[in-house]
Amino acid sequence: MDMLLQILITGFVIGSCYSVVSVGMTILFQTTTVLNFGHGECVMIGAFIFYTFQFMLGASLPVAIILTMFSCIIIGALMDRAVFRPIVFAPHVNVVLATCGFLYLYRGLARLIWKSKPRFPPTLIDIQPMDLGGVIVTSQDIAILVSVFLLASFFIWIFLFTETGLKMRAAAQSLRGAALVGINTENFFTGIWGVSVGAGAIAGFLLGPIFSIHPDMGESFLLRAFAAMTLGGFGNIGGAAIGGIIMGIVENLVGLYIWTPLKEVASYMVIVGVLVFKPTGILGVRKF
Amino acid sequence: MKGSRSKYMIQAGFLILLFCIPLVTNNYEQYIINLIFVNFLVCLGLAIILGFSGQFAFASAGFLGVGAYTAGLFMVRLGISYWPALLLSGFVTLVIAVLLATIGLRLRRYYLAITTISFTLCMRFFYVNAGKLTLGPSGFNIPHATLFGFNFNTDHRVYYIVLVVVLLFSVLSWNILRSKIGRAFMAIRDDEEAAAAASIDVKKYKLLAFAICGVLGGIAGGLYTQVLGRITPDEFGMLPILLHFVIVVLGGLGSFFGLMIATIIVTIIPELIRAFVEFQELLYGAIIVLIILVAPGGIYGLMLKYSPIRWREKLHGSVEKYS
Repeated sequence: MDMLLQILITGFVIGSCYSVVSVGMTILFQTTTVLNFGHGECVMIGAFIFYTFQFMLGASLPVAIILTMFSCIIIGALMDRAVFRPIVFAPHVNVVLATCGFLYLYRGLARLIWKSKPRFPPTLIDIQPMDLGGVIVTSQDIAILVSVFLLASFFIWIFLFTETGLKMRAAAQSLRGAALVGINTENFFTGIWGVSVGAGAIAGFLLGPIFSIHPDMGESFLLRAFAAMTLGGFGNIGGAAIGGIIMGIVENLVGLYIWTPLKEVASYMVIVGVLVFKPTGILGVRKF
Repeated sequence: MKGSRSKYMIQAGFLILLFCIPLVTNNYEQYIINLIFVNFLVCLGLAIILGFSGQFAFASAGFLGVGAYTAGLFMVRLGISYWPALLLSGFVTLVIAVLLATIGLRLRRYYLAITTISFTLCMRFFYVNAGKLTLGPSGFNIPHATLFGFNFNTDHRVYYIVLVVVLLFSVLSWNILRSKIGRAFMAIRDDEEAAAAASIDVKKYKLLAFAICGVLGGIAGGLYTQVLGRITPDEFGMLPILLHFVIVVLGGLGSFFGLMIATIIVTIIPELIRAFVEFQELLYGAIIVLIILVAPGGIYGLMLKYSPIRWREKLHGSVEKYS
């Protein structure tokens, strides 16, 4: 019983990071209709930039976090301005290929700068693991839960209670309509790209101490985010968040109770299973 | 009459040229040429399903893997000779492709893309972890093919197997694409509802596209075993999916000739920049992004843009651009 509870908590913690990745992908997909196949690599780049600031340049934790967020938002905005703005009316295939191009580009860049060997950054905060009646919660678990909670509250506040959020919702519903009532959709796209890559970076440095960081780590995040998006109904932000958490729990349960290597393909099986039996996902509406 | 005769002469000359290639190459160059031919066959499958019938099915690397493992395992485990194994690899992949299509037919665009990518990675997982059957993550060596005592044990000899099989299947696909089936594919690609309204059985033709992609991928997989001599699960993971995708889009979707050029370029580039192995992925990514920005129509689009006007109609008449 303790074992099950432990797995549920670990799954929830890791899953909440998957949610951050998949929500980042979903808001991008919702507004710009770009499905970013290079998003896993954005997670990887975020993790490495944070590692560089904190452990190679020796910045303190808050400074490192702020600098990482800042640079990743800039990276996202630049991606939009330089590449995705000019091809906004191109066929879907071309846009998908451009995101694949970034996948290679970032992987190559990371291999060049930080080399291939995996690195194990220390945890964000340093306190003793706590024993809550047989269930052990580590310091990184707490750091992740607190950060994701803060991030989620921040997003919900922006999204539901500010004017920016109102504009965002308007643009997500109908881009043309939003442009007609005077919302600057071009800047808006750039902003969304920044936020999306920034969210990926957060997940990257939160999960870094648990999974280790290396240039090939992006692929698994990408597939998990896809699974979470599919599970929650494609293009549904709340669904993506819940889907991420479910993915985290499911893959840990599968790893423990069925077969450890199966953990790696749990996400693919979830994708295929959902698409065969309930293609709309748990919160989605049918639109394909 | 005279025109068609000179056309046959050119074709025959080209064929003879192809058969003479091994006379002037060394082993390494021959290996690269073999690789180009096999890649062309796989990408042809992907081009048919993606460029001609407009389905986002990135399963070509998966089919390649199924074909290679079928041929390899039949030869190693059961000790049957290469030729029936090659046929079996085409057949098994056909069955798998049809099974995948039963799911795939219900999905569109990104859903289909994600499902087919998942399929490919699941197969890779299977090769790695079902070690009792597939000999595990380090792969296995493949015995050479023999025909009436003649052993195909060098790259130059393997080339003739590859050449004959690839030519056969390319001509077959070319003819299929120019027939009623090919036109139905393009109609479905351009507008599915309109195609259905024109009494084209959309489901049937989509299934057919999957089947053709499967057979081409499977046969290419069978050839792959002889070209490489050894197969490992990593040959069929995420990177090959992207590689095939890059080739098809670089060639220009729905263009046969562009596909050939793109296959040659993309297969040779990694070999040329082998000295700068650290920069390989970086360069690759930069090239992809640049192509999308500068020449979104791929090589075919460039040909249309810069060729003399009297050729343009001919080029355009063969296949239309995907939009």
